[in-house]
Amino acid sequence: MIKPRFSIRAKLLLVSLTLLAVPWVGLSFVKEVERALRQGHEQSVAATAQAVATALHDRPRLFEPQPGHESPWHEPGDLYLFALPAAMEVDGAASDWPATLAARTYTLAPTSDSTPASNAAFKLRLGQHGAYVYALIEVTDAQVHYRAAQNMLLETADHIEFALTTPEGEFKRFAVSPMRPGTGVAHAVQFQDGKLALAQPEPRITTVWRETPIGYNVELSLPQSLLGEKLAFASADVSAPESGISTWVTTSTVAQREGMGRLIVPSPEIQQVVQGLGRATSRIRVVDKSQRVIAEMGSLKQAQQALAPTEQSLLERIKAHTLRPIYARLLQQPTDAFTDDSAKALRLETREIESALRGVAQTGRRATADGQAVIVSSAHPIWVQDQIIGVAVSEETTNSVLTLRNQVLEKLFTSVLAVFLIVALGMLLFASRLSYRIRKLSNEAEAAIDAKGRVVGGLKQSAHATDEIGDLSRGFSSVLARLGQYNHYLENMASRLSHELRTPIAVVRSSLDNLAQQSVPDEARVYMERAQDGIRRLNTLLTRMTEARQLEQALQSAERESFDLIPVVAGCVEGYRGAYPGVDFNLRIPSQPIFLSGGPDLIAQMLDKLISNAVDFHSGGTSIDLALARDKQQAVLTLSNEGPPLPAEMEGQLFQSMVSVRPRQTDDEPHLGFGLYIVRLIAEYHGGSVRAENRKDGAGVVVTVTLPTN
Amino acid sequence: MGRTIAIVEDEPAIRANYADALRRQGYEVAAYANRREAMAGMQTRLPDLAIIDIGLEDEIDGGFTLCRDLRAKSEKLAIIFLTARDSDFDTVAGLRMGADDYLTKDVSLPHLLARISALFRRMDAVASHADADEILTRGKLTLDLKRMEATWNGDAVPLTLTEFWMVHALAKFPGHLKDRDHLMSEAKLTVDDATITSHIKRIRKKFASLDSTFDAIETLYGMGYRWKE
Repeated sequence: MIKPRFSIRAKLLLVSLTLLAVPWVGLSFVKEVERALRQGHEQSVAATAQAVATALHDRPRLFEPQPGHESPWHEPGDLYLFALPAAMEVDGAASDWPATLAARTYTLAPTSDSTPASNAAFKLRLGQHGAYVYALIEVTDAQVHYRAAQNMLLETADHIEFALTTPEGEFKRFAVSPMRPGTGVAHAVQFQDGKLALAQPEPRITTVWRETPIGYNVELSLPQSLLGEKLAFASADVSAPESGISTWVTTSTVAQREGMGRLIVPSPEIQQVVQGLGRATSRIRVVDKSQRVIAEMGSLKQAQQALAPTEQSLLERIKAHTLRPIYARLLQQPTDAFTDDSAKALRLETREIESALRGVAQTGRRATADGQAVIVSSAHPIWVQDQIIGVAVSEETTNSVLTLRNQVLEKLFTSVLAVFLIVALGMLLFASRLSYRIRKLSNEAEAAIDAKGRVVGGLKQSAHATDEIGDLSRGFSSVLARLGQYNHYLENMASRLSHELRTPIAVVRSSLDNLAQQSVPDEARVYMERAQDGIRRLNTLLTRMTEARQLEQALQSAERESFDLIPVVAGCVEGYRGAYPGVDFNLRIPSQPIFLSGGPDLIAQMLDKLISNAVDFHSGGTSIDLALARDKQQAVLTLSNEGPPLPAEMEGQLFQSMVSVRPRQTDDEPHLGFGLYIVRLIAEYHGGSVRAENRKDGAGVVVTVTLPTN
Repeated sequence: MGRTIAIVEDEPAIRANYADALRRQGYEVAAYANRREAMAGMQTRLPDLAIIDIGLEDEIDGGFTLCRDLRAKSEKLAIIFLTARDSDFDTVAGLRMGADDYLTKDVSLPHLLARISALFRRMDAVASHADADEILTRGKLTLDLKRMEATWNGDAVPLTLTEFWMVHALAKFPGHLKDRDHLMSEAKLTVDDATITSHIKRIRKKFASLDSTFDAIETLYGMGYRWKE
């Protein structure tokens, strides 16, 4: 199984990822801040509501509808409900209506078809006192037609029709169509065989029909509890009972809920009071007991402020182009593009208002229907003595909080991003530097010991650094130095040993030589000879041991000469043919001379060692093949013999001092493993190299000496 | 009259062995263990030959100092270094100090004795101005076998005993190949091939300093050397 390899760089970068916890912490902090902001916001909204309510406490007059003012959100068809000073007598006469309450005149809507212009019109007065709403309709009609008895169809007689929605939102349609002038009640209107007809009477609505010089008056009273948001009146004029309705004058449609005018209770004084309390970003509304809006100020949507193009720094511009879009995507952006479903509402039915009407100020929040904004709404009751006469409602979107939160978040994210980038970059640089140093150290450490296991150099990397890598480098250096000393000691061992052994050997030898001069019994002479033989071998051994060192010393002061390699090799091989009569030597040499710089004697010495080695290891009866070739700037000498292959673990070590792969032999020649070491010394002296490998066919060994030519 | 030989050697067993062997040959032997004793002993009467070890007790190069001091006393005194130190550097240094020969302790007693007698023979020949009947002439080379002196083109070549024997072995039969073993036995040496090579190099240099065109000693790589006429 391959273990995944992580570099220090990757690890440090991974570690730096823990910095990403900072924005998380920041986020929870921001959430906390947002919570506090919201609370504060709600409090401020509640305070606004309370302030408005306080300003309106104990001023009951303010809640009485005042004539002469139009609602700021007026639409054609809207009807205004003004406060009346006293209860009206329902008699069909305008005399008891206050003069200040001007009647509004409705005429026939100009039509596109060319019906003869009619003077059909009516004047409407609408007022309220206590629990009753009064209406007086003065209709201009030259000829008044009354409904015939038993005929319930509306189209046969002049009549007044009105439609309303109840506080519950139910659409109701009524008509006043008596058989003669006088007091009566209104009737609900229903379709009967596709035609409108009077249905059951509504006893709560009292009506009076009274003829006038110009037509007729209808006055009616109805309980306020019956009235909801919308109200519309219509008068129908019938020229002849058979021809149906000829003229139809309306305040707004009475046929269905849609298109009906609204019933507005204007309150200009409250409006003025509220105006003074108004704030730019909030909407303040005052509703009366029946939850009708009687004053409104301000808007939930802020006026768009044209942003002056300010001078932006480069950083700002980069931020605006790179981060803003991301933030815009990530964060909920406050927007004015929401649909305010309660805008221009005439009645407000929220939990807060209902609670305030019960005497408990409440603050709540609700999302708009399209989910684009959240509105904080606070309702506070308005008291007259201990009666609640209305509710002050203050509303604001959470956009300001949202904007603030977003600003904080953006700042947080930007600074965290910057810090993260800086730290990550720093980590990356630091890790790169670290891994560079470690890699360099590792390379140097590897290069400090060559393929032959010799210490060839120290470590320079980080040698003076005071950190752990410096310690490692110095530690490694000292290890290398000690190893080098030990290697040196081993390499010198031979020569020191031989030097130290010389003296005792000389003692033994000279003693034996002296003994030989004496008269020694014959039977003792054989032992003497054996002792001398032993000394001779010991001596050869010492000579061999010192050979390498002598060569090393000689090489230091050797003079280089330029010489042709070919005659040296050829001559040597000729010599070997004489020296080893039983061995067959094959030599291939190029025709062109190969000039080297160095010592021909040394080359001969090297060949001696190689050949002696090859002869010792070659299988009897096989030949030893030598080939000299020129390869570019190098002379390549290969020497191949059949025989036992090299032990795998010895390849590369063969040319070291005191390494031998020879089996223990009983022949006279001692082997210490200096021969191939000498070969290496000579090859290296000539700037070349030597290597021994098993032959490709596995049947023997091939030694290759590479020497650079002149 | 017996010849006197001084042995300066700090190893008592070797000193005694050599002294015994030399005495058996009829030489008068004085043995010293260190430089001070040797100088004191030789103050009154110089021996004919001094055999000196280089390392003497606490003096690493005591033999060299002794050699220089003795050479300063007498030009005629024969000096042989007999030492365990076999490096080229020491050999060259010893010969430069004015030693007549430089032997390592590998040398066998018979070889040593042969060299000593040869050295004395040369000294006698030089002293007696005997007839030059044992003269070997090969072209520009003349070898006086009695005096063991070599001349090239009439100029004396300052060869050591070992070198003289080598040149003689080569020049006796010009054109004949002499391998290293042959040269070694002629020069009564027991050394390795590299030493032979460095001897040959030194011989060549000595001739070349007289005649830069000298090329009479030919190397046959892997086989040996031969004299070219």
